[in-house]
Amino acid sequence: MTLERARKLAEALDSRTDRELTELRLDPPHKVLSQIRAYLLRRSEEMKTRNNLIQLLSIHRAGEFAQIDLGPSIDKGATPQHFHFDSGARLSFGLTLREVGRGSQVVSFRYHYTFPDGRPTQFLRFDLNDGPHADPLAEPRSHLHPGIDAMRLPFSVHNPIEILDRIFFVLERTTLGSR
Amino acid sequence: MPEFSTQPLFDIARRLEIRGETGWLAVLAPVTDSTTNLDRLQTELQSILQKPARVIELEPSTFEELREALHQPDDDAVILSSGTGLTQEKWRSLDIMRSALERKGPVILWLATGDVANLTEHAPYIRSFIGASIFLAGPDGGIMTEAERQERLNELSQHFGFTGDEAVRKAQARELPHEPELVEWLVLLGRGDLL
Amino acid sequence: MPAVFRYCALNCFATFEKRTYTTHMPSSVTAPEGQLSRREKFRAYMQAFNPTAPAVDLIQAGLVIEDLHQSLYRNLAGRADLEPGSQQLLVGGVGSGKTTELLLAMRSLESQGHILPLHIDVSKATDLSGLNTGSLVASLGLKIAAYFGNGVGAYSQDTELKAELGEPFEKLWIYAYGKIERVWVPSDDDSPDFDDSDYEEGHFRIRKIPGKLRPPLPSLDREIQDIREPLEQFLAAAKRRGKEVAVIFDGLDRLLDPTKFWSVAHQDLRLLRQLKVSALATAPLSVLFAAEVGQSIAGEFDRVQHLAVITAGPDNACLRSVLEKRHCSELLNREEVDTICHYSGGVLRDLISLARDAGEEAYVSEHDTITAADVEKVIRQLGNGYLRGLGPPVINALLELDQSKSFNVRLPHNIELLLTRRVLEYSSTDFRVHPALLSVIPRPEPKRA
Repeated sequence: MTLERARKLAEALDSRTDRELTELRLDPPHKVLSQIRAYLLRRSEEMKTRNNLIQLLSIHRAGEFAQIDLGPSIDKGATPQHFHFDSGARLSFGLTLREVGRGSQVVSFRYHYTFPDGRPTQFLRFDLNDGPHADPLAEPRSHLHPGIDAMRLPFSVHNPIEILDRIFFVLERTTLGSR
Repeated sequence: MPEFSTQPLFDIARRLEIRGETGWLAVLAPVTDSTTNLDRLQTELQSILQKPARVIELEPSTFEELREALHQPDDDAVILSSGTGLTQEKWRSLDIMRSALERKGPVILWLATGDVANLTEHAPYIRSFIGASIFLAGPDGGIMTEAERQERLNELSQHFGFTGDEAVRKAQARELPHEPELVEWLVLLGRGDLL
Repeated sequence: MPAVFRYCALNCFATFEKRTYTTHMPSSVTAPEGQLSRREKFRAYMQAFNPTAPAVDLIQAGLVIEDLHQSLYRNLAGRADLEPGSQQLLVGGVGSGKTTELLLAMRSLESQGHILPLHIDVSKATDLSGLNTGSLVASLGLKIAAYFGNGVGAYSQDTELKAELGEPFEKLWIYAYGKIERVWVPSDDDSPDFDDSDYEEGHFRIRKIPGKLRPPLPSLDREIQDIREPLEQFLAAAKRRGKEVAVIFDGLDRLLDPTKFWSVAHQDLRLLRQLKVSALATAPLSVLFAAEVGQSIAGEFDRVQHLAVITAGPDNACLRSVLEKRHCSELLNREEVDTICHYSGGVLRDLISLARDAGEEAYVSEHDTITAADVEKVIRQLGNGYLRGLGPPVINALLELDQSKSFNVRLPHNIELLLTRRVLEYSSTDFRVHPALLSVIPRPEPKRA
């Protein structure tokens, strides 16, 4: 295995990511917002920590694009606009959609889960770029930052709700359990 | 004119959900954009209740048509729309057949503003089922305000160290990286065309 | 199977089955503190306070106070049992608990062993506003038939049943649902070459004869005696099995106009009396209070029982017991219970509704229990619902009633106020404005001196 071969495989992975994203069709943006809100609402009700979802979640429409955000665009510390977990962790995310036909496609997203203070890993961030990088090995189009901004590991294409599943049912549960 | 509580459609769906996805309530349609709001209500019901939500026009449905429609299936959410308003006779007729309209799933009356009086006056049995659950359809929330948008733009500009105009120029020159924060920046600037 | 059977809705029997769909009526929601999440607590509370829950489910779940109306149901059942052919009316306003009382009476009759009580909500199966003479007995006939054989198929496939009751069943069916006939319609032909001794021209035409339980197509005057014979045969069959049939007609109170009520019920009930079938039926308040018409109708019955609005009493004991039976203390404190009891006016459905709506308000407002603000909000909502559509003259009349306690119940517009629950009847002489409405009625500005 050479670096060149690794880069070629990474390019092929990016191509597959592109295809999968093209095939991934979601509902129109206002319905996706509704679904995300309903999802977070149900998770909130299973928690002790209160989050005011009506105020936290917002959508901005610009032509065929829609931007759904929760929390700050750049995480620089806890704010009331974050979604706060019982473990002390917090979440912010942004999802960019493009309306296509009677539905929408995912253009890009970022889900930033910050662990509670005192953990060896500070954060995990799931990112989807809107296009390929010149070096797909270093920066796959769909990737996970394992607590380091400069490090990116490939992450398979997920429906935006499925990423929330990983956050709530894997990350948060593990974090809670290890307190 | 007595005012009813204004509720976001999202909260109206929540109310039905905590009831155990059953029961009746009435929503007064806004004067403008009634069709859009009806569609939004349907969306919220589907998202929150996790079951299909249908709209049935009360006029010109007959007794048989309504009874069949409400029971096939009988456990999804049904929005009964009174359109621009029903006649007194139609309300009386609906009231008489209330038992035939009873079902497992929730029933939401989507009413023109003037129909509340008709409901109380000519359909006391249906009104009795609704009780205090009469709400004005309010704004659904979630729309990013201009202040919030500006706050995000400032935040992004401070983080990346250049202005929005420079971000646009870089995007035009294909020099802007593909990171999601930068994608968001362009969308918030109204320049999704550069993606 | 005769073609006539294929014409009719095959789910007609299903409409007479007992409706019950609430599968999680809690018998207890008490749990050690902290063990139920907020959501679970509210969910359990809401299920116990469902104002639209079928009465049969509530009775089965033990959430009904059976002696709320001094065990009236026992009196109703007793008379129906001891006086075959007796006819009793249960009259009450919307949400007063009529169906619950009738179902308790039914249960009491069932426990006698020799009575076959049949509860029929006619409004569920057919368009009550289009009903005409014969509809009630048609419904009863089908209900009795369902007791003997479940479904149309039973009467054609079960040899014994067919032999015993097949013919009366077919007559009953046609009476109820009508039939399709193919009739030959000859055509005239004056051609000189035509030899009409050998061949008759014409065509078959489908003719629909409507039944009593179909929407009027046009309306057809049918002799109610047409159903007497098949009904008698079914009643005799029931007797052979040791059962006396008693019928409970629910839903007739929806016919707010007493004239309409009587046009539907009169002939049918007369036939049932002749057949010695005891009948209990609901009727609108207008039967009690409408002058002349109401009185003449009431005079036709052996008993007219008024299910009045429940008086709150000095410590709301009666109404409070209704809430406590459903474990209201999980979320409601004593003070809020009293407030809800007062502003319900004693209307049972409003009582349950207010308790439910207050819980719902607390939940969406992110409260952990129901607060005074939650209760106040839903009372205002209920009052506003009653207030909508009332013009100044009516509002003034209501304020006058509140002040003077004077109410001429014979006036048509006052009966409307009773039917729409803006005014509540605590007895035949005690009328009051619904407290929730009273709390939001705009008061006139005091005149400046």
